[in-house]
Amino acid sequence: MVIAIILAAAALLAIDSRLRSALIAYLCFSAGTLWLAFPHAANARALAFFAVLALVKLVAGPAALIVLVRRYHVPEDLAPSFNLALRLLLVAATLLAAHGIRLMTAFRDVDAAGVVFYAIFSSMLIVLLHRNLLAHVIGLLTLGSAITLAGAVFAPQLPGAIEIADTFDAVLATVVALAIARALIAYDPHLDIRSLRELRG
Amino acid sequence: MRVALAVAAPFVAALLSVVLPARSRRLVRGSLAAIAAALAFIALPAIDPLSALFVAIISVLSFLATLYSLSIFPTRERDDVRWSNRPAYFILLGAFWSSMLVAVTSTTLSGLWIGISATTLATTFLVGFSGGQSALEAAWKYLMLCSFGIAIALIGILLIGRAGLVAGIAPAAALSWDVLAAHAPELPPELTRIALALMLLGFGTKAGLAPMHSWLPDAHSKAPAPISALLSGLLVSCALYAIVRVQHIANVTAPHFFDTTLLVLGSLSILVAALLMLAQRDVKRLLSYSTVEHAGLIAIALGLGTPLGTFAALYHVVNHAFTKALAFFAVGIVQHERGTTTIGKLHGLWNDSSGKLLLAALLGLMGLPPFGICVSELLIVIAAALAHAWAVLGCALTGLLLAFVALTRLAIDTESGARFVPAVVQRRPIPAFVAISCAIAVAVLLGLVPFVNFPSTTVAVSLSVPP
Repeated sequence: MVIAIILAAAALLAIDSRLRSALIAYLCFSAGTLWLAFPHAANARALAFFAVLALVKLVAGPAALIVLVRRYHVPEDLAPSFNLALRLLLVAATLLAAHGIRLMTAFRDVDAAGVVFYAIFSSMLIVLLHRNLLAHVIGLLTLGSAITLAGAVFAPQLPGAIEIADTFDAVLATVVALAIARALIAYDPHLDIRSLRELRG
Repeated sequence: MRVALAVAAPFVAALLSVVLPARSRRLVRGSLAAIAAALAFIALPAIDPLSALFVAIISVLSFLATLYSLSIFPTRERDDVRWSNRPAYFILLGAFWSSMLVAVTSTTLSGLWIGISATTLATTFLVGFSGGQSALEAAWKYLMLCSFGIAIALIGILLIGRAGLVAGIAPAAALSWDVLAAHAPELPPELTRIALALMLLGFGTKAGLAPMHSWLPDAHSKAPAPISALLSGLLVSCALYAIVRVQHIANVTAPHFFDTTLLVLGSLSILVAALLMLAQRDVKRLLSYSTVEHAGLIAIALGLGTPLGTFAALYHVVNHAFTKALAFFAVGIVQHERGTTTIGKLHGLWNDSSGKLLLAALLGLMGLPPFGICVSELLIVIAAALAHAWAVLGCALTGLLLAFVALTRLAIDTESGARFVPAVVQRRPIPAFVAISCAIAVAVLLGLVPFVNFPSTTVAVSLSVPP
């Protein structure tokens, strides 16, 4: 059931173009990954990091996004770069790629390996398929949740260092990305990636 | 304890300097930075030779960057140089310095990752510090590409941790590179290979290796001059340090796969960067592409997988760090005096002391004596020839030649011409000149005494011994 929610939410994130539904999908995705990653037999430190992680991913990140949108009147359209048919095709390709990785010898004994890689690929798809910079922030947050899931699936016994890393990743996405996005509003109220073409790499 | 103190000192010093009275702030800031650097040197005996080498470079160059930043740059100038009198700048600089020390003093892959990730937190704001549109654009690209890059490295770390657990390593030690290398024969080969590839891809992005390099020229050219110096000289080196640590595990598990990938990425980087250097119209962007070129050269030297190659790579890291820092420091003063870094608008620099310093840095980057880069580039070429890596050697020599042409053209275009007379006489940034003088002294010293008591020798020997 939880895995089905994660799969559906990841697909919706890549396909949908409205900020509101993307945020709901992100919350479902993160709640699902956190549910699977909950450190059942962990110590107080692991639980504390998990609590911070959950707070950042489920409360602080989405709340900061909503405040930014309301205060600066950023359009809620995530401005997809491709039409719906192509986006659906790419989601299907992502599913196939994740399934292909699941069949590799290295991951044969890990049941949820395909879901992990699907989640990782989906977070990248969100960035690649949308022009609105807020979609990129959601992509970064989704990638953090995918890594949380990867930690729980591949190496749940590893020490707290991974939880620290994961928490750090969430803070990075929330604080830094939103701060830069907020500063960029002064130059482009639509936060469209096309306004970032002066330097060209 | 000594290591923890050394790591925390730069950030604590930066915080302390902010709360001090404004009148003595510059002097105290400089003194605190000097104490932070000295504390790092006291911690050196407590860490292994490779970490010690990087701690030494980070401490010296970060101190010089802080010293440079103490110069008074008038606030009426362009946005790009309006940073030197802001407390937030020094706090972020201290955080950057401390996070690099976290990365190179950690003994586990997760600690290394946290350090490198923390550098992104500090430097994203530093890249976009001016608040100008192009600086924010550079900061955004830097954040997105590097965050995705290091996230991929974290997945690689998770997978190598899993490989360690499968091999019977205790969970607490499953992310230690020494333990992983010691148990390398028992690690599941396919899972290990995937983990190594992901870590190389992730840390390679942070090191600016092509084709993941596109954030680097933007970020390095839009940051304030001392930050550009640290990004090019140190941050890229920290990412390469991470690759060296990963290679330590790969040396036993999948040496051919890892080294070949490094050689391919290195060759691609040097060629792409050298070609793009020829097309640049801005001094800082040209120098940024030069960083990609040198990162490629270091990747090639590491990918050769021989003790001489490793020694040459580490020696080149040190040489490049000081010479590139010198170049960005000099460009910062040129920008202060002329108000531009556009190549077409700069001429007659030879008549100014800043222009002479820039010329010295360019000669160093070209690989001419007496600079250390001359020796390390020669060593890399010899190492490649001894390893019979002829295709890679061809790529490296082609790239070096193209880069030489680009740098020579830059030197001729900017140094020649009539003397420039500024409309307003600028105040000389004395601490910046002191920092540049120190950087040039080290860059030359490394070329004159390359093999005397150099810690890289120990490091290369230790790395060449199978665990």
